[in-house]
Amino acid sequence: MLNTHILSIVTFLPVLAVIVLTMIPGRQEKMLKQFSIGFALIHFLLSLFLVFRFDSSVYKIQFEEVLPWFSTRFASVNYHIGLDGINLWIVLLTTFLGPIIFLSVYSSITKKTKSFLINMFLLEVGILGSLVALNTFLFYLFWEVMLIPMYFIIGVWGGERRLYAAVKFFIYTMAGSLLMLVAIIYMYLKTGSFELLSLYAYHFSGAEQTYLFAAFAIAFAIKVPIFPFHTWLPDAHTEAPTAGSVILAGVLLKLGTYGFIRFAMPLFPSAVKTFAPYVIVLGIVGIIYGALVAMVQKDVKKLVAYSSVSHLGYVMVGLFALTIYSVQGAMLQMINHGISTGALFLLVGIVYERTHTRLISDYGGLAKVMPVYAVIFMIFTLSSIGLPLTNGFIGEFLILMGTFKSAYPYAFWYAALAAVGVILGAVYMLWMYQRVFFNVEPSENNMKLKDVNLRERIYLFPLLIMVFWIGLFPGFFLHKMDKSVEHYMKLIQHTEQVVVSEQSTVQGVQK
Amino acid sequence: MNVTVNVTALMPLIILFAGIALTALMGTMHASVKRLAGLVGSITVVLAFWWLMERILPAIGTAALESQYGMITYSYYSVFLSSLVLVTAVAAFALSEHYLIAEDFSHPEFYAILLSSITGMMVMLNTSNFVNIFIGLELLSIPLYTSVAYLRYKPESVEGGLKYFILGAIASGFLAYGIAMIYGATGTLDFIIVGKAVKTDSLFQLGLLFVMMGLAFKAAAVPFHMWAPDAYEGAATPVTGFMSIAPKAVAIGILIRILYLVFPQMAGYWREGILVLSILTVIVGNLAAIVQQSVKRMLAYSSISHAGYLLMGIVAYSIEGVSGILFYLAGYMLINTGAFGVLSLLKRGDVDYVSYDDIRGVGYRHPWLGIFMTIFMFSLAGIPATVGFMGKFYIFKALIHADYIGLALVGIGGSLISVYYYLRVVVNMYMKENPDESSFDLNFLSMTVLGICSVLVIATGLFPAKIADVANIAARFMN
Repeated sequence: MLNTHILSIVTFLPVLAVIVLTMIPGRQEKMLKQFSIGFALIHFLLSLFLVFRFDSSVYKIQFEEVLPWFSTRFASVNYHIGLDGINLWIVLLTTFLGPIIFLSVYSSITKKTKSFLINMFLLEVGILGSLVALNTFLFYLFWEVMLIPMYFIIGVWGGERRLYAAVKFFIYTMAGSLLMLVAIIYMYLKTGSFELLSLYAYHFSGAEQTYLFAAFAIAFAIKVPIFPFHTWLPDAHTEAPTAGSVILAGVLLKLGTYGFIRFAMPLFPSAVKTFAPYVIVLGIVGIIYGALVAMVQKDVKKLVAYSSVSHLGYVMVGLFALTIYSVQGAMLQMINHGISTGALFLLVGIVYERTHTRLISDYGGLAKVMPVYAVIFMIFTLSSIGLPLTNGFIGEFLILMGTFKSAYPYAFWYAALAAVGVILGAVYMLWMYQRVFFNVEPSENNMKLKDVNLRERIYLFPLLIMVFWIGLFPGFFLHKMDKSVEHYMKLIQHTEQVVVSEQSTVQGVQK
Repeated sequence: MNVTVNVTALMPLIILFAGIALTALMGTMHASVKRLAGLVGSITVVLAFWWLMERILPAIGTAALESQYGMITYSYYSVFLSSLVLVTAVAAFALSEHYLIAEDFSHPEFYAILLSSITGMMVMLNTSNFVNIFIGLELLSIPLYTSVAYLRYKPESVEGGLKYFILGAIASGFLAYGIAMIYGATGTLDFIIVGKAVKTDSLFQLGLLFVMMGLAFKAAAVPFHMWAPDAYEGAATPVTGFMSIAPKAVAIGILIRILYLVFPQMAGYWREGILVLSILTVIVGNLAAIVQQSVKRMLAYSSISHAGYLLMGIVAYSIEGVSGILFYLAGYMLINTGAFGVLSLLKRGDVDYVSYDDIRGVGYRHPWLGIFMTIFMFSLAGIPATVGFMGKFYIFKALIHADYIGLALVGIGGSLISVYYYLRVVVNMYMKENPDESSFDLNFLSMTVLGICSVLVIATGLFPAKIADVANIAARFMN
């Protein structure tokens, strides 16, 4: 059971939590929250199995499960999930953030706690499901279902303009994914299969690739979000409760970039070649635009939100530079962004809970009253900037190096312009840091602020470890994705038919 | 001429007529008997359904079960749609019971009227003759006009009924006129024979046009939808639910049958026509739904837009398209019964108007009702894991298969717009505070119906194979 169905268990385990939660009366707030923390922790520990059992010497899909789901005359769909070097770490990131988020929820959510926790667990199922799905139909199902809990999280527990943000988030994302649905149906009619691995082997004609890629790319670009599809993001982030922002920045946005790696790019390699320069340019525009807009934000949460636009611009540039370094860097950067931006949202949430304001001008001199907080904040700020020794450095370095080495005629300029973003990133982050923590004497209200408490230290600590672990020993993480990335490069560089069909016969764990 | 009468084939109609007589008679009886009218009505429908499943279904093979030279014919297709109508009717009866008691206007005649309409639908669905189409249509419509105006003390109810009657009468006129022209062109009223007559002269074409228009009226397709919002709003809410499903299913079902069986030689013409109708219906229905302030009226326009998706399926002109439509109708029946069912519970005294403000915070005061409504709304919006998504999936797939990608995109644009107003219901139920803590009067029977609907919405959304297979068989045997 554990051997053959471990991935399904990890994916659907939160459903069990939902069932238990519905049975605990809503008044028992403490019990609800404690149960959720414990459950998320067990969930994470269980998911560690995936890492230990993961065989990094092959590119093959592991922990694979294929079952016929439903089959009618006009469509047959398999339940097909699996893990390889491409989604391994994002899955782990999701389960890793789980207990952290629930710990932060302990104090930040006080109304309708039960429903909140249920929505969080359902969101996790949606995210994990779309990460492991290897069937386009199954993927679409999870991808859309994921919207519903996030919509409730923003809409019910959000800030003042939460309704606007929630509906905007929903409709924006849905608009993209409906186009993707058309593409998925089209591919099915062409090939007779929703199975991703057999679709990889199918060679679509040039025109088809262009349209299909565009349909997928818009869906994912909205999710990432790539400039100019990003306008929903600042609203969603600012209005969402802290826990919502963390999961949104940490994992949800990664689904967009993951979608590119898993679906849009390997399925339509020739279209990738056509579109790559445009996507890279949009990525660079995103990097610089995001950074410039972040610079002028008065609201610290909005600043972090715009920094996401900038950071994900790097990921996009890295992916479309199509070199092995840049792709690995992009994939690592996805994890990094989840950790450091997630942590920054948590930190902003901590101080927001105490002051009920997020305006930078309301802070100032916090380093004096909250020294530990200031130190932790500094570390994540540096990680977000990409200082050597931190995780951010490795990712950005690989991306820039890969981009520089890529075969594009303007590769140098791409890399150079993207590097400008690094400088701008340092400017807005450090400037913000200065205004929040130093500059003036803390105001009377701020003098009373308490430093981070034990619970907050507990959930920030693992994130700190990750910053340095990835920063100092990235090999452990990169090594696991090596083979898959290599294979992936073959897939996207091959415009001819690639035989991958032996993969679909693989069952269970490869050892 | 020696007419063969097949009693098995006539039995469902006999059962229904008996039910009509019985419920109508109950109106003259003592109050304690009157109360049972809903039950008697439901039992009648269940009996007819049982007969359909147990006696008629096994008798159908690849050839249809016939009586009186095709005046009554049963095919898998017509039995599928008939059972949809009957199931909808049972749910509507169950929901009406409580609603009418709350209105303090519960009379056995109500059930007699609805049963007549159901009988009309059965006649219309299970025939291969234009005469019966017309008779069925009248038998379907006239009781429906009455049932819209049933709450006779309410001006909006009478207004809706009157509008529906006048416009409906015109539509019937169109249909009769069209049938007459077809008869003039071919000399027969039998589907099969007309279908074999290779005619493309202008009389025949006009006949097709008028028949299409008559049925489009009944299906509330834009621009023949003017009566629908008022009629839907005026009727008692459970009746609105019934009206938004059953007559629509019948009109679309018959339209498909007539177009595919009788006018295959003119597919080029009518595909264009239906294409335009479907685009207009989807766009106008969805846009008009956005601006509504009353939830009931919003749902009325939303059901217009759903007729648009169904019409799109007709354009595909394939078995796949038809089975998509049938699947869609089955899902749509579950969802709309549920959505109007929830709405019928959200009434205070005899005030029927439910605005978005009125449903604020309902999700917290009545958690189950909130969850049900949320499921129905997401399903109407076509979110995966619900039957609403699978229905749209099948129809869009058929469209793309038939190379109508542009039309599929229009449909998708429509459902994107629809997300906005369906979400608005959820937003008000969960995301807006309401100082008013009063609760609504829920009853067990209605909640059970709603519970069954929402479970089925999810279950068929996740495991659609069973219904999709049945729909596929039904689509292949249309004669």
